[in-house]
Amino acid sequence: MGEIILETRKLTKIYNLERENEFEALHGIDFKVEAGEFICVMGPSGSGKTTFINNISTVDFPTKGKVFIDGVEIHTMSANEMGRFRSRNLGFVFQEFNLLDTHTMYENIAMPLALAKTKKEEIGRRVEEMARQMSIEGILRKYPGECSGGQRQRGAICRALIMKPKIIIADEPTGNLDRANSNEFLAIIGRLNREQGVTVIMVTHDPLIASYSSRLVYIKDGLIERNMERGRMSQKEYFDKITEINASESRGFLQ
Amino acid sequence: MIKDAARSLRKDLDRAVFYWIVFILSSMFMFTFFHLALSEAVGVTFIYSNNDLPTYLTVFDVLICMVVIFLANDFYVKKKSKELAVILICGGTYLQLVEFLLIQTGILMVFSIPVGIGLGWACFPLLSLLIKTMSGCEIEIGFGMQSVALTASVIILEVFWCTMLNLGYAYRNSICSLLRGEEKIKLRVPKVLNAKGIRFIYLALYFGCACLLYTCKKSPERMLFLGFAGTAGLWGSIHKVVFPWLEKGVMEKWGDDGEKLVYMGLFRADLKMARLYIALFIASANILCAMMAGTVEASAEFVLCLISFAVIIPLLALSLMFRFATEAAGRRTKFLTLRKIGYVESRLKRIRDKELLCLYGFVTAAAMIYIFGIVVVLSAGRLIPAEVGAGILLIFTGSLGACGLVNRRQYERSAR
Repeated sequence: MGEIILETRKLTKIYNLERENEFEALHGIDFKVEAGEFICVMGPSGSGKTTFINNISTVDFPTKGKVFIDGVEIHTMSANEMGRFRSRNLGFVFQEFNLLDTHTMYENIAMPLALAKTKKEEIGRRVEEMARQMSIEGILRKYPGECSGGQRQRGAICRALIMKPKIIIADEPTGNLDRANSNEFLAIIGRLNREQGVTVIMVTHDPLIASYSSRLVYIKDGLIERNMERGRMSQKEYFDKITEINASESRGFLQ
Repeated sequence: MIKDAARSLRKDLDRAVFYWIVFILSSMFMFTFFHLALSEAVGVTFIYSNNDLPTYLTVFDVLICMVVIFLANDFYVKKKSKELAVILICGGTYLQLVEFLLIQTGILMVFSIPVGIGLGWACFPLLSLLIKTMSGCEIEIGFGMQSVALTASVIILEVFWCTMLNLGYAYRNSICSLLRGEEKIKLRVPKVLNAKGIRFIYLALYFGCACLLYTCKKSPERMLFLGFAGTAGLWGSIHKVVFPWLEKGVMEKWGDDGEKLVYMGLFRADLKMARLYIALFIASANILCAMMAGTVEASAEFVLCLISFAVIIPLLALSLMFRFATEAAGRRTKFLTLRKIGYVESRLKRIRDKELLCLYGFVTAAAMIYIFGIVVVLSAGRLIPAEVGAGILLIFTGSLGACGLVNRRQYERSAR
């Protein structure tokens, strides 16, 4: 067994606690991620996927239970420590890209480095190098609103990777991309995972995208219902299994 | 529909209160100035108009009030596009959308115009006292229905027109395509205005006119001309000097400063968004100051100019505040993104504060160069007492400062 990079113990999330509309979205989830894994989180709408991913990535905090990232319990950190930790260890990629439209692509990508007080020259060098890798070096002076969806997503990936994080958290990252750009995104993420050992945790609805992962976590009604390793399966076999899991869920609603 | 409109009003209580306050203030000022212009006591009426200053002043003040209502309406209606889209998806017609919006603005108007007129009327004794104390002229201002009718009809007509105009925008945005709605029309600028050295001309115009103010002594026409030329210089300088400087600074100079990179970038966006408001603000301040300079000998008219300044400047500051509030209301996702990148709350707070400081500091400094010049010229020539000069500066900085503080609070809430 490899090094555990992320772990949750009895992770529970309750919204509107002690109010009339109290709702338990996650019910005591135990979960472990080894360094270098590529995990896909799937499940029906409203099953708690985004809540889960937010709670394991310091974006939100669990009501009960514990989350450890790289051996550190996130709840014990102060706000400043948490910010630094997030900046150094986690990279976020989202469906809506979440780039600041008030800043150019260059400025967006440079932001985490500036925050870490990196020298100006070093920032310039790293941003340009990263942009070259993602083939967006020609649009660095443009604002996100002037770029295509694919370019914006590549910009968001650059920003997520510029600090060389240990974990990439992606919530429906291909939701706003066409098939060609989705494939390109997966190729980039896959390469990072294989070649640089970056851990990837990605929420998706698309079985094809999920078939690139090394493990599938299927969440239903706030609990992990299935945990499937790809192991020695070919991508096609793995894809068929994932499709079957999704189909069986839908089949349950047939008369 | 009435129920839905009332519910929508309650849901957006913050914006509704803003809009309501603008209605109250605008109707109060409009009523007061219409009243003064129509009053025999002041000596000028539209009917026997001899193109005297109170008529010009009233037209100018009413125009500014109308612009402010327009901006507040814009702020209120544009954020309703989602609700409008829901109504359309449910099969609502264009007419029902008009009804939905007009009921809301109608409710606000019903509760604000009488209050504004009442407040204006309550201010009459104070106005008479001010004119008497400062100019020695005894003026009895009585209540007249003509100005009530004028105020109400101007506001109602304007709100109707604004609602239709904004509805067209919301309709296009919600139903056709948000992307197309965001497309900006690029105006063709003559080549000469894009020439390389033009920025020096703009700068020279802006600072040169400010310097020339000191040579005016007592020439309101020259002051007015310099004020206008200076505003044009400022407009050009924002485009050709300030923006390129900010672009270069954010990209190259401040790239290694995590806070400055963000707040200067945000300030750059604010400046783009608010440049029209800033120009309007500065031009109005200049016009009113120049009018004051031209009326120093006719002391009753000078007091009227001063009162105009005291009401129009806060009103314009309020409109800038609204414009910024509209922008800040949509910044929640941006701050969430910054948190995800690793910015902690204390840093984000500093970023917001510095951004606001840059915006309001820029407006204050850009206009102050002119206002200060006019005040100095008038005070040095003993045309106005030093206390009045200090009062003018205080009104200007005070209203901007107060609006900046309100924005700060609102920004904190929206970014959370």
